[in-house]
Amino acid sequence: MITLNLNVNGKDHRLEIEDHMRLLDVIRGPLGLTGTKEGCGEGECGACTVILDGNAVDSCLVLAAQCEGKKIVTIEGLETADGLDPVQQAFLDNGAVQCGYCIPGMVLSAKALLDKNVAPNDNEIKEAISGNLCRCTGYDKMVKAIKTASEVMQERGEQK
Amino acid sequence: MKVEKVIKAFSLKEALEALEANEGRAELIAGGTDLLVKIREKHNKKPVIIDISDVPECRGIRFEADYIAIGACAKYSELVASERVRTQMPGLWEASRSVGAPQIRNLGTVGGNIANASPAADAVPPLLAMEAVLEIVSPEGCRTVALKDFFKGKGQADLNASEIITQIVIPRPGSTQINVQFEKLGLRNALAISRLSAAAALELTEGGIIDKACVASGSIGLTGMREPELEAFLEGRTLDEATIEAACDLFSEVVAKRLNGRGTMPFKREAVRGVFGAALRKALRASV
Repeated sequence: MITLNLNVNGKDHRLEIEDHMRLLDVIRGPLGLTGTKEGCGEGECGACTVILDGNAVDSCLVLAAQCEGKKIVTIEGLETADGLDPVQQAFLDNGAVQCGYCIPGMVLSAKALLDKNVAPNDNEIKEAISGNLCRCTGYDKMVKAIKTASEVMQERGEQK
Repeated sequence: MKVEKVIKAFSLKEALEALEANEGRAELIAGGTDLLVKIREKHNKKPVIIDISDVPECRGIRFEADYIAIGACAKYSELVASERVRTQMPGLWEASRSVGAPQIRNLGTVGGNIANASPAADAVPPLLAMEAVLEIVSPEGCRTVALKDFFKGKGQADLNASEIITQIVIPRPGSTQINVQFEKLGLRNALAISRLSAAAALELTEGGIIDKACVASGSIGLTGMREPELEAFLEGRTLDEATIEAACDLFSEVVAKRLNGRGTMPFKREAVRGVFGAALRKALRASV
């Protein structure tokens, strides 16, 4: 067992975990945040994507013990008192969600992109979600949704 | 094998001490993109894992007057984000950009890619072509080994259990920019392991004659390797379309000979023309 200090969705946690646990296991197990999905378990599908210190990563490819002192954002961390994150809202508004399994990872990949580059072009959007597989939608509506979110975020940025 | 213990090191000293204290029972993790898959399949070989991903001595990219030092735990996304990597080592930048997907590049490290000694490692051909040298540290001190001498076979490397790769050092004699170019063939754009890759670093005279050529390949042997036959052929010739065509013919013969009897030979013999030709044409475009 090891003690792990982790900030998840803005909240500090001190957890006793088994050494062999992956970040994904800690998120879904002790933290109970089951919005993060396990798909392939080997970094091919992106269903388990979370944001680690600002970067999208596959949480199935990270040992929890490697994350000592780090900041993690999961899908549960996007909604604020003001409502859904612009990326979440845009996915709903554009009908970009079907079965939903890939969506938390897809949304977080988009979020990580927009936080660094609020006005990405189509290629940058496609690149950002290239590690997230979706077997329902054909990706088109997701790309549109991310563009919508980009516009909303730019407008909000201008208002500030 | 079950992982019994994970030790996170915050300095090189801590990492070396942890290796020594767990002699023979420990292996290193950096990005984890390969090791986590092995652990999942219970193919990992050691019960103790020492994390060096946050060891400062293994991080960052330094641009010095006569060399560039890439920390072994520099992540692919750091290389991709570096404007100086893009302009000064375009082949390495392209290879880095072709690794996995963003989630993989945000974890995977150059040193881990090298230490695994996979024949398909994307960063290896451009690093070989730039004559990279590895800095390896152990409790006994520091040694250097040329990358071309580091690989001993598929998954086998000149690295013993007490050692840690800390830096990848790329010499840059004279000019600030190395005309190194890379091309890879994968099965799709994202997340594809390279089926074949090639890199070339060319030094040209003012008249466009190839003064020095370093050519390297990936996935056409047990390890990434230099291609001396191609280097000897290119040196002294003018870098033009005729030379590129002839070099691709020669590479095709080299591949046919090396992979003789393998099922992939007929495919790779042809594919290498396109891959190496594309790398050389990038070098030609960069030279004018």
